[in-house]
Amino acid sequence: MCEESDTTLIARAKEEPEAFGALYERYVGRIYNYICYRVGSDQDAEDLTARTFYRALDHFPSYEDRGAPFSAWLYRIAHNLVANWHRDHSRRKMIALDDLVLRAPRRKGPAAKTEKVEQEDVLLQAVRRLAPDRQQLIVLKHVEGMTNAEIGEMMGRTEGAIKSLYHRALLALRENLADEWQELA
Amino acid sequence: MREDREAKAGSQARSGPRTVAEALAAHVDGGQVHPAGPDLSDEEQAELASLLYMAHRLDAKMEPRRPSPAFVRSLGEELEREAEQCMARRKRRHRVTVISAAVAGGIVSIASLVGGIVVLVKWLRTRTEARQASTA
Repeated sequence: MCEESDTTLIARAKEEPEAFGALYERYVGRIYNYICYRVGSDQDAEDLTARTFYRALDHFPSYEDRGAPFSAWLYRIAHNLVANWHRDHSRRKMIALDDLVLRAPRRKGPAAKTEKVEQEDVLLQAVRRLAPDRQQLIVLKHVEGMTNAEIGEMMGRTEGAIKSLYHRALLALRENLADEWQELA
Repeated sequence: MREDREAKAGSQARSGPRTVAEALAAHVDGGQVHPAGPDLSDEEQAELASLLYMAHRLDAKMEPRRPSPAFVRSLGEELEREAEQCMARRKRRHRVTVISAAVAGGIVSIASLVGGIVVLVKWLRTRTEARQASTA
């Protein structure tokens, strides 16, 4: 069966709750994934994902399809909620990251496992020390696999600005990893 | 001479990162892979290689995380219920607005009609009085 386009679903969702449900099912995984990497805890990610979709539902009547992807609108809502969350929970940040790292999938023997967790720990901590817009870019690119053009549309910047931001983000990340870099390389 | 050299160095410093940024984007942004920047200097090539290594490392380590099916299902049900209630509320509000507008419109029409009749009666009365006065 041919999948309905976002535009069709959005038009239908103005009148039919089931169509909004279909949009939700289409994007809940990506929004959760994005939030999870930004906040580092499953519980908070679930809470913020729910709040993202409730807010989307609240503002849906005034949403107008202007050609930008629907996902960009959802990501923007999620991004704002995550920013508020970080403001409110700045002290809990590092603990949440540890939770994320410890729950990451492990596949090898004990020594390799420890090394993997340590490397992830170092890498993710370094990512979490980046400025919010750089973190957002890293997550969208490396977890969501979005292109620069898509990220630009989502973040309200040009593709060129995203390229520069990505370059600066990697430089900052390398700087954050300065001590561990030799070991990682 | 020195100023020229400094200006050139400044321009290279400004163009360097932009070139590396372009090459980096071309490598990382799927499907547009070019050979590692033929315009790049050795230093820039090394810089690019180091950043690409970092990018590949991120790709390898940042695995997608998925919500639990139970969470997705329960939130989906809650949202559909909420969407139904929202639509019912919107329809009710719309109906109230339409009825209020119709009532207000009706009142204005009736008031206009009454006003028109009053003005007409007054005018007729004034005219009759004026005629009677002129006849007398």
